Amino acid sequence: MNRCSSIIGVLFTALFASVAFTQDKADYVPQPGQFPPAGTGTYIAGELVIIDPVNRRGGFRLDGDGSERYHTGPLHYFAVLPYGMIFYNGAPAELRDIPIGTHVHCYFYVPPLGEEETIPSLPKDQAQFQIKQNHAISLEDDFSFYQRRGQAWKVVSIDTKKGKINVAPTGETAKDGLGKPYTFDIDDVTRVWKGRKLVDLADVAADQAVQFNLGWAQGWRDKEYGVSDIWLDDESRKFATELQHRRHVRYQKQHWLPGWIDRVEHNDFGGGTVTLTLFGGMDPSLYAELKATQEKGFGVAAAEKTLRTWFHRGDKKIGQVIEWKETENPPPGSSGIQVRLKFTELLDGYRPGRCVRVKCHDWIFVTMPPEERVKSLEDQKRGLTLSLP
Amino acid sequence: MTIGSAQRVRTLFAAVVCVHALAAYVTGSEEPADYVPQTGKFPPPNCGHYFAGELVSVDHVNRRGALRLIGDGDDARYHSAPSHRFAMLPYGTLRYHGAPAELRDIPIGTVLHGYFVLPPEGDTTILLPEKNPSKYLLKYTHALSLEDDFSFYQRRGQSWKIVSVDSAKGKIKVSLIGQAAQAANDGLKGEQTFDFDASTRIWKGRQIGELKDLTAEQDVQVNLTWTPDWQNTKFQINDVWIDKESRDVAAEVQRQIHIRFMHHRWLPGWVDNVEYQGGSKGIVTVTLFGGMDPSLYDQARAQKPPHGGASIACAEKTLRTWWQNHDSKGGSVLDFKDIPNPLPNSSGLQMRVQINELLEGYRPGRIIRFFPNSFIKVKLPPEECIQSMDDR
Repeated sequence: MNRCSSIIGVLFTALFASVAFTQDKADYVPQPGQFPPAGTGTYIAGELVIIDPVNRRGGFRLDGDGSERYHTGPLHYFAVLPYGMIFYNGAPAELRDIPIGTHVHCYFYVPPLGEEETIPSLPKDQAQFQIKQNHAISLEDDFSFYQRRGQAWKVVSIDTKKGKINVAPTGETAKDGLGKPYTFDIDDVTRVWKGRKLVDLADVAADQAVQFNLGWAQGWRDKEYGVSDIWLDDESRKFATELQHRRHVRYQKQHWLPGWIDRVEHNDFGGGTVTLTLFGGMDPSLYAELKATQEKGFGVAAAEKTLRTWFHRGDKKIGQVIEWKETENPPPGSSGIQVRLKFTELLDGYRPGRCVRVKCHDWIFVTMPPEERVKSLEDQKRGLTLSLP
Repeated sequence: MTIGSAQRVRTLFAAVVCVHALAAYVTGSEEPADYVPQTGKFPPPNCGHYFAGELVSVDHVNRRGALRLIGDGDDARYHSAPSHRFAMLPYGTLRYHGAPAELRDIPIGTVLHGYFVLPPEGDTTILLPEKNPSKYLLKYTHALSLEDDFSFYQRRGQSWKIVSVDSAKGKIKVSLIGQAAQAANDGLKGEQTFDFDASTRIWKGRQIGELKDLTAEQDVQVNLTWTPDWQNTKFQINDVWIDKESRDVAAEVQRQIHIRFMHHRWLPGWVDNVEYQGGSKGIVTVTLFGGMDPSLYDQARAQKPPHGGASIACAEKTLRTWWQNHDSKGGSVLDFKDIPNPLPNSSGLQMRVQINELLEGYRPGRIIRFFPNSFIKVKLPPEECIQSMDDR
């Protein structure tokens, strides 16, 4: 597990090392079949307020900036790109794993060409609040964001009567996010984790190096936050990561690993060779399982840009792996793993740039919950634009 | 508050707010008649239709969402029925981990047990399609109560006794025990086999244990979620609480979340009566809705004369307010009354407040949020406030 986290950490560090100058490259337009170059993406943070976990979309209240946008501005609605990566408690996650009210850090692009309507424009009277970067390549909670960048927080002091905790960054300082000493609200509702235990506020002491997750506080407009969870020691953090890791692994084994088609070489009579690249951000053990069982072939189901499939256990074909290739330092969103598979029968969805889900032979076939499946062309069409509950 | 006192309060709470549900459980197999909620009237006991399902989407601000109903062996229904969309009635109650809750507190993927009725007359919150509606659509779209497995079974005095654990197969066999086991018609019954795996969280005392902590003969509470054989009423265990301390801790954590939420949003209720006194003055009588932590009602009662005071903000049926700090009026509490044996969803606590300037929204049957002067006024997150008539 630790090794896996380290690999993910290295990957992400590489992916976002140059995100430091994201603002200069804010308007990169995602291209079909191409992963974005490193160092692109606009950093935006806020609190998750609403989600459509099935279609990987949602809305968040932006961090305060002291302006009246807080009171009068709309939520920032977003879609996660097919290769967009989500992290929670230091491990890969789905939107459904992140509780409403969690403060998240994201990197965004403008919509890919032809997908400008996925997130509908704001009405005219709110047009001044429009942020065009609304397609996310990454979304992560505070725990994941700071830990992955080598930053922790040292407790300077805590005043439980006033409900305030003073902290200062320690370790490497994240380029984006809160990189300076800060005072947060804290109270009896804050969950305090030590080892595998839920402990009390009294266990929080000066000089501890901690990670936390933040949420809304009364002074949100002025960039104030409340601490919803705080992890006091390494064991508590590793355990939180391990719990999320287990959830993620189960989810992916049932839903299959996402990727997209790079190339299709058509044979006569319906067969052909398909080259696909697996998306990044998954637990390394999942890629390793695929690699270890490649001689048994993979199931490949056509998927939407939301990563939804139809009836994936039925609407898939099994291909024989003829080549497994790994690239060092892949671009953001890519795992760097490219696979060539030979099929006796190709599906309509096997086209360059289209998304797929890939199943390891040893994973058990399951049928997805009905609300997650695309069940009709109408359903497919509805899934093209944001529609929140 | 200590866990011990929290439990005492919880017991009290259960006795007060669960009249409706308890009545429903003991009525035998007859389906309740179709009840249509009436303005300004709490529903009678035993009028809700029981459905359970997994929470698949949530609009927590407007207290709406959707459930994938639990399987009944009908493959066609599982695969083709749309999710059951619902709206909480203004006085609808929510519980999670054995304590009052909001929809935002309940993770997507949690199995919930609910009691539902028809929409109030003229209510278009959940529109059923007129053209080609699915035969599986249910007309009971308005929820009187929703609660997770933990809350549902614990409240009825039931728990699960572990019969056997098969870690290799990821199966745990349990048997429902407790006083309501024979009488209750809703929920699961008898012996069940649930799936579990490494992602299942085992709560032991104040800490997260391991799968090996699960042993036969333990009395546990569980929260369930989807498993591939869902259509055949099968479930996976998301969380299991294996001892009393772990359950008390879970309830207390949720109770504190709830109390803070209510301190910020104020206690929901509705206007029973307005006595106009000329000019803009009047006395407003309100009844607070049920389902809140009893300590919050105690805080309201503490505002008794001669020194007590309160503010009343107008709210929508979603319980959203405008800008409650400003769009409310305050005054002295003239008296309060605890109505004996209140109807389900009512707290039974009625307050009379002297208001010098009545608001447009103070009308019988309209929803309000009640602020005892001991609460602290804060500005709510903007997305929760109604900011315009369009928004409304």
